[in-house]
Amino acid sequence: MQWRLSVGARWALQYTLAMAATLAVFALVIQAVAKQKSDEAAALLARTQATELLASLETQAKLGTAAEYEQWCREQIARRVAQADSELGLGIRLLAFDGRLRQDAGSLRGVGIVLPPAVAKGRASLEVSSGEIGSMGRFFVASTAAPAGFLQVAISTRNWVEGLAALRNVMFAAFPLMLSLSGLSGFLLARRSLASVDRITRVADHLSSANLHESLPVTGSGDELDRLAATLNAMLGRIRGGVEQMRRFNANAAHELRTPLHRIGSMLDAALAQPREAATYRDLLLALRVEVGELGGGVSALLRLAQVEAGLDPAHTGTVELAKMLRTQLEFFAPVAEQRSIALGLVEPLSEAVVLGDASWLERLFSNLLDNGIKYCGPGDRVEVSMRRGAASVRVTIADSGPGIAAEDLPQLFERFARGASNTERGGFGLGLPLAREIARAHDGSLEVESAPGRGSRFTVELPIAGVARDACDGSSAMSRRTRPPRRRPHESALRRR
Amino acid sequence: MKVLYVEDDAEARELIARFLGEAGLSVETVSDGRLGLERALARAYDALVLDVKLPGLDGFEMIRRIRAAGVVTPVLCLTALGEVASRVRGLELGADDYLAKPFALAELLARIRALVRRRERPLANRVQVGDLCVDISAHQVKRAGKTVVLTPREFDLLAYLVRNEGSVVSRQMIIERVWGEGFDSYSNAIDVHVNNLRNKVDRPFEARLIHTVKGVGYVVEVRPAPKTESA
Repeated sequence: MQWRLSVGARWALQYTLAMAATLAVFALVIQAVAKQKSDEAAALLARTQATELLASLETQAKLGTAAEYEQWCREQIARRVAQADSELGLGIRLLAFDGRLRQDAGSLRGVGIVLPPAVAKGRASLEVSSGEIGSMGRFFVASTAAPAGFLQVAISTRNWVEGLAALRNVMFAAFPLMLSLSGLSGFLLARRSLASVDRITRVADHLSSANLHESLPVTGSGDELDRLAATLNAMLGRIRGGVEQMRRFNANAAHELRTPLHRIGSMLDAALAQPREAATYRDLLLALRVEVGELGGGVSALLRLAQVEAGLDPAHTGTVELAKMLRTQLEFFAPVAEQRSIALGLVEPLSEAVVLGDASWLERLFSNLLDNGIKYCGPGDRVEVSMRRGAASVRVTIADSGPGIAAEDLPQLFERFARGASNTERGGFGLGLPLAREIARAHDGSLEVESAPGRGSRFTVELPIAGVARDACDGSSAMSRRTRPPRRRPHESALRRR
Repeated sequence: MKVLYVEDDAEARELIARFLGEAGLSVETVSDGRLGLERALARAYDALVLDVKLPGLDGFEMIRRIRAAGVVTPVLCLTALGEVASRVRGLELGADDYLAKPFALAELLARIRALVRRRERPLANRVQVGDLCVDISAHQVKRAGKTVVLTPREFDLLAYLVRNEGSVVSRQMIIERVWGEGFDSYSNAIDVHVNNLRNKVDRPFEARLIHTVKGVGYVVEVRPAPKTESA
């Protein structure tokens, strides 16, 4: 198995590396800046010392004889060198015009320093040069013309270099500590924030369809990870609902299919038990044909349901005039209703509304609802269809005065093969209403029912009106100014491409 | 009536061919699309029945090439339900009718016969069946010289039935042609419609013209001996 760093270790390492890089750059910059500043300071000090000394030398030169002046110089220089901090490495020397050494005190003693040519030839009054002197390190020397020759004042940078070295030592000592601290804090931080991820992982790891009721831990901190856990929990909830529904569906479907299969098997067994007349066989075969036809109808309904669930097909999608479609529907069902003494009617006026969709699916949606309504009604009952147009959606209501639906049956009414709703005598295996709802949903609409025993049922289809921003299709009356549809339909891009 | 039937499922092919043969059709079967195309182009048939999913060459491609070659033989497409857009695609490519599996064999037979009939007898403006005269463009119906008043939809239904005089039309065919594909009814809506039509067109007169074919649908034809039958 390949060895891989955990996220925590990687974070710690990244923190440490980033910290080390920062510190290294910081140290280099500090060093460079400090060196430049110390050079500047040494040069400036040499220059000011030289200027100041020169001024007093010039004054003194005018006061006495050359010998007296020389004598005064010697004392002056000796005093200055003696008084100066030894760390400054002060050195003062006087040269004759020919470069011969007249006086030499302090750090420059015995060191041959060439006079800068510009000063020697009188082109510059003062010049600062630098050089290295043995153990004393780097020096700055200010050279200038002085009475009876030249004056040189040298200052060593050793004073500042030692300060720099101290700083470097402190940094070297502190860096490893800082690095390990940052590494550790990175690791701890990562561990802390990843702990909830680990918990989520552990729970998610052993989730299966069998224990979907478990949920991921939410700490209540409201941070990103908490929100992630909450989102995943919500998703789990939806999956749970879906799996639960699928489980019930499978059980119910198997049951519904087994019943007619069992009937067919029994019919065959009974017929085969002994020789019979041809007419008997023929009757049996006719009965079997009916049974198999019903089974086939159930399977077709399932396939149709799957087809609708896959979404609208752009090739079949167009504008549909609902009022016209409803009138045709009523015309279709009117004779059946009449035969059963059910008053089937439209509540005029029907609003005009155009929806975008699959005409044959919408036909199926309404014919399922009307068929359903007529089937459950008895003589003297009525089935009424009305249509009301909103700003963005249209509502078609199919209300009947039939027996109504018991409260405990309502939740499963739109479930496939649901008990109570299913009734093979009525055909369709109780898939008519689930299919109707799926068709409404495929059109970004909805199908709802209100019903109570003895008070009839009221099915409401809500569909978005073509060309209007779809907001009201979820049933809310709020018409916000959202321009994008709430749920992007898979076929929409295909439609636009055409 | 000579029919070419292209289907790759051997069992279904044998069964259906035998059924159609017993119904009086002369059926040739082919199991492969490429072979089917060769046959369809080489020989004259009254109708082609194609499964859409075929090895070698699929049914859609067959239809396209058959039509491209100028062959106008009616084509009936068989597809599995749930194949998205297959119906539209088949019809766009030049198929004349479409039937989704699972289907009843009687339904298949009725559709094949209707296809062949329609081609043999192009759409006429006036159709005469016995003493019934239907003027399609003028929306007028006369029986034994008397005008029969029908609703527009009853007229459509009658027009569809008389145009297929002598061939059985299934309830599903009636729903598709007269009402629309999505009309779904587990109730006997079509039977009630036909019954209403009979009340106006048949009952007041001597001979019955609209006959029920048990388990399949209806047929309009002149039958020599008028029998009493239940609606």
